[in-house]
Amino acid sequence: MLEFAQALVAGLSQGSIYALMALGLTIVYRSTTILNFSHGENFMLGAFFALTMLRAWDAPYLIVIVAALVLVFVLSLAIERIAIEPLIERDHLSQVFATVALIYILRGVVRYFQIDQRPLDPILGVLPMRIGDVPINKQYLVTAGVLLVITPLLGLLFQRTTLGRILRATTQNLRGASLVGINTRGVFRMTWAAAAALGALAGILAGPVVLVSAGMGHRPLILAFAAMTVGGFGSIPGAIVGGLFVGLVEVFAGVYVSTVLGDVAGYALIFIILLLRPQGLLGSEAQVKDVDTEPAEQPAAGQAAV
Amino acid sequence: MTVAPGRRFKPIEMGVVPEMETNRPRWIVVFVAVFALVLAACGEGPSAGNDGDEGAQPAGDEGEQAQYDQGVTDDTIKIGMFAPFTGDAAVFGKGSHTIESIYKEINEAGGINGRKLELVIEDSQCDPATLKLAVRRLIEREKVFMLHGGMCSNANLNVLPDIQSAGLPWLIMASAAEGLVDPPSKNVFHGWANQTGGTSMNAEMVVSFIKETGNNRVALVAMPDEWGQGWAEGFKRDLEEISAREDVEVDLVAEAEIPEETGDATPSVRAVQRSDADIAVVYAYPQPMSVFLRDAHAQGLDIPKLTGQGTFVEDQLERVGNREAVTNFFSSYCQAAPLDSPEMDRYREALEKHYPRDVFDNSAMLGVSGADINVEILTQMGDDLTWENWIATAEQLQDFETPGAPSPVSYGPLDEEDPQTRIAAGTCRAAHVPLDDKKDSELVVVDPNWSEWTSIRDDS
Repeated sequence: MLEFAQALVAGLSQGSIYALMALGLTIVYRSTTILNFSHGENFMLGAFFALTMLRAWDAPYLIVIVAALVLVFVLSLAIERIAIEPLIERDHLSQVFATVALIYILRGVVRYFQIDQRPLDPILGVLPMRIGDVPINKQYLVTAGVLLVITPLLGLLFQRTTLGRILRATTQNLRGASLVGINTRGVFRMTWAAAAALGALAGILAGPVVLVSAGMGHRPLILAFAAMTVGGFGSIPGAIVGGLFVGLVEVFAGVYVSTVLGDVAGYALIFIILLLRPQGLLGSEAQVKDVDTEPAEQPAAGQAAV
Repeated sequence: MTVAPGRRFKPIEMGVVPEMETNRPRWIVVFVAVFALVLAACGEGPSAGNDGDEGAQPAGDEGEQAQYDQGVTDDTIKIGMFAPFTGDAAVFGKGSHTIESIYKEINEAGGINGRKLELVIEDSQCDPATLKLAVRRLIEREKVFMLHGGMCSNANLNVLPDIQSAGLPWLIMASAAEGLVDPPSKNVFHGWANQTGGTSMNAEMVVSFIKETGNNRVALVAMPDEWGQGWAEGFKRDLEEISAREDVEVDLVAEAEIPEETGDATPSVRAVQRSDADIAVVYAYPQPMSVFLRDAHAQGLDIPKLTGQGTFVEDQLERVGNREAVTNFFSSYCQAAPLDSPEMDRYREALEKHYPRDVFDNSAMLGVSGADINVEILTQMGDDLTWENWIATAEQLQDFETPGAPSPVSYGPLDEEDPQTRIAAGTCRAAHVPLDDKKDSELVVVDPNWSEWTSIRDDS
């Protein structure tokens, strides 16, 4: 029972990181149909900015976190404007290659500036807490808690706010959104930056348990892709469920089957789901078909502001 | 300014260049070749691979002139250094700072036989591709006399064929892979301990643990990559050999893996716990090691844990931030004396002078014995500064004592069956931080046959 509880908490915590990453990938994918391979660098940049600021200033942790998220948000706005928007009318392959190039550019810049790799300080201290007989890393609870808060907030944003309606309209019918005067390019840019901030938040939450380094975003990115596949490409609830599922499978396979299997279980899920249920757990076949047959419509030039 | 007759620099073979079609008459090519040969024979022109501004013969006494190879002038010896100063393994670059500081101190004291050491330093980032370019630049553009560097096994293995082919001496700084010197090659020497220094220490400690406590259940955790599995295989080999020699029965009850990029080590920790192991040997990079130590402590796995040179106790203490989680963790300590001993003052003072921001800890001594070894070899070489002579002098080095190595250093004539002819250090010692507050700032160094395991248990 103790073993099961420990594995459950660890799996949910790992899964929360993947879910946050998958959420960022999903909202970009839904609004632009671009698979952002440089999303792992948002994960890295969030942790890197937070670590750098914590070392440079004696500021409260919360302020540092907010500042790091704002930095990543602003940087992503610039990146989208400079590197992605000029390619928005090109084919998907060009866009994907651009995001791949961004990986190495951003990693290279961080490697240049980062001299010593360290983890971020745990948000609630290093000592584990105990619930009954189960020792629990407090950072795990913080991570899972953040996902618990973010999920309904995103739901509210998409379903109950004007911004959410604009985002949904742009996603569902780009031409229609343009015709009614929505600045779809502005929507793309904001979506890109908001997704980057989600990735950065995941990186900050993972920072205390992994080493903050230029390459730290690689594995979470791949497992976030696995989460998207499991949950259903383009599905926001699917990203969350998929992320948690991948985290749990990873830890439970490692604990109950073999430590060798734990590391590959998440990746193996991609194949299994694609073979057995291509639309994922919460995706629909129509969604898969839409994605296959309807490449992103291009926004018209000179669109009016929202 | 010329290089010694008969000495040639062999450029790195980066691939076959296809023959170009050309309309240029062949006689021009023949003329140029003959002209170059005449110049070379007269000893007045640059030889292949050397633009003439580095390799030199002293003026006068032509009949008894000493021979220089590339990278040597009347006043300088150019040494190419490389280590990771940025990137995920930048902690390994600290040892290079100490070596550089020692070389600078040598220069301030007048150099070696009147020549200053000219250092050309490259950042390898522990990346094979980056190091490949860096080594090529050092050899072909900088035309260094020798290489002294290398901290990351995978990157170093990637440049090994190039350096073997080029032929210049390479003194490896601190790289674990046995493949770098096994089989040994003529021009490649290890300036410190390689993997065997750590695995033999780990095996000896396990045997001493069993002898003292009577508990013989051993768990082995390693990263799944070539680096981790190389350590694991080396440990198993040494454990089999040493336990047989000491007539001790060992029960290897678990072999688990820990991923390099992990934020949770629950599966590895539970695998060790389920095996009911009495002692664990863990081979992982600093990041997964800190995750393992943190989770092991949180989940009550307080058995002794041993590792090699890949991680440092003080570094882990800083990363994990919990002294209790690190108190029964032992990592390799491949120096002859404790860090706070007078023998180490020379290194500490040099580092503090040239890198005042660096902390003088175990990682700052990574491979530093190589600096002393190289200074000794270059001193013995006198004015005969050729690659051949560097190699011959190194091969004759016997029982050379340096506080930077766990035991006196001896190389030997090349023997393809014996990698020890190219390795400076043997079995390392081990370092740990006791829980006792009175020893708060001390790193305690113990021998591999240490027999105070029960005191650790009391501590934890």
